Amino acid sequence: MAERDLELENVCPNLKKSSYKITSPIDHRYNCIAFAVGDLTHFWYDVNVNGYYWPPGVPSADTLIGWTKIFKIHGYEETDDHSLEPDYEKVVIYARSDNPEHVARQKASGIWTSKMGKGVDIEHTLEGLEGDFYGKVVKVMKRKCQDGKRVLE
Amino acid sequence: MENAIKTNLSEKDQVIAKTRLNVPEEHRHGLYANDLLIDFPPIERLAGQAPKEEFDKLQDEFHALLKKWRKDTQHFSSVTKMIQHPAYRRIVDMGIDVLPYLFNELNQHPDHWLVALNAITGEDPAPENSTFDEAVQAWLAWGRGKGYLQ
Repeated sequence: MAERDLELENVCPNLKKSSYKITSPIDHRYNCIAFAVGDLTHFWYDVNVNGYYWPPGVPSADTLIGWTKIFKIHGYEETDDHSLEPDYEKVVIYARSDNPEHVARQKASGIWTSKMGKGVDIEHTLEGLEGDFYGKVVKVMKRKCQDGKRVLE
Repeated sequence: MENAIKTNLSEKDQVIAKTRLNVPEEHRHGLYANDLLIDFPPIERLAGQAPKEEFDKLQDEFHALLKKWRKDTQHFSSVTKMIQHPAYRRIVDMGIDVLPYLFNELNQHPDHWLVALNAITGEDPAPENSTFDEAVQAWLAWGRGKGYLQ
């Protein structure tokens, strides 16, 4: 696995100021939303051609309300606290001018992990992805672990 | 009439409209190509009918656009953004003649060409609920059947 993704660093220059780790090869088959809900076989978006997935009845994938609904369906509720809470799994949504651009989920260790578009998966800090490309964290959501167990590592 | 309608559409809607030809009516929302009288070139127009120089030029342009699109969209999560990219739109506008190159690219480096293929051909051979890989394989089989891919 490569240690750095220079193209990714170009679009997210804050990554150069913080530590990040590439954890997968480039993979076009799933995106950040899919990754955040644990699905590595579908690219989640509401495109009306077969080969993409978007849950029925969920508002447009181009809207923050649509992305928020996805995670509500998966048991998350909105919160203001993105710190590590051992009994909760958390996701954050990055947006620019209310347009959702990216989502990351928190691992049990407290580090954040996400799929970078059609590119690699990485572990990163929240600040590392903030900037002109993905915008900033605008929403934090959490769900309680079931019987003390996380659905996703 | 058609031009007037198309002028009134946003760029996104023009691209999206071309992707919705095959959606069952009960699942439709928003704008649709056949509602808007957007015409597609006849599928019978085979790539080999144009002079070789034209195809060399087309191939060069396709690869330049491909390189630009791939670089610019690598980190997009949004399919809307990918298909709104000017290079993607230009490839769609190339129409039937670009299909041999597009299928070859899809075969060698699978990427988000399903929308473009649907927009150009008006077809969607992938099964409902297919994964991205399954949809790519269905398109490649379709392309081979039509002679666009060896």
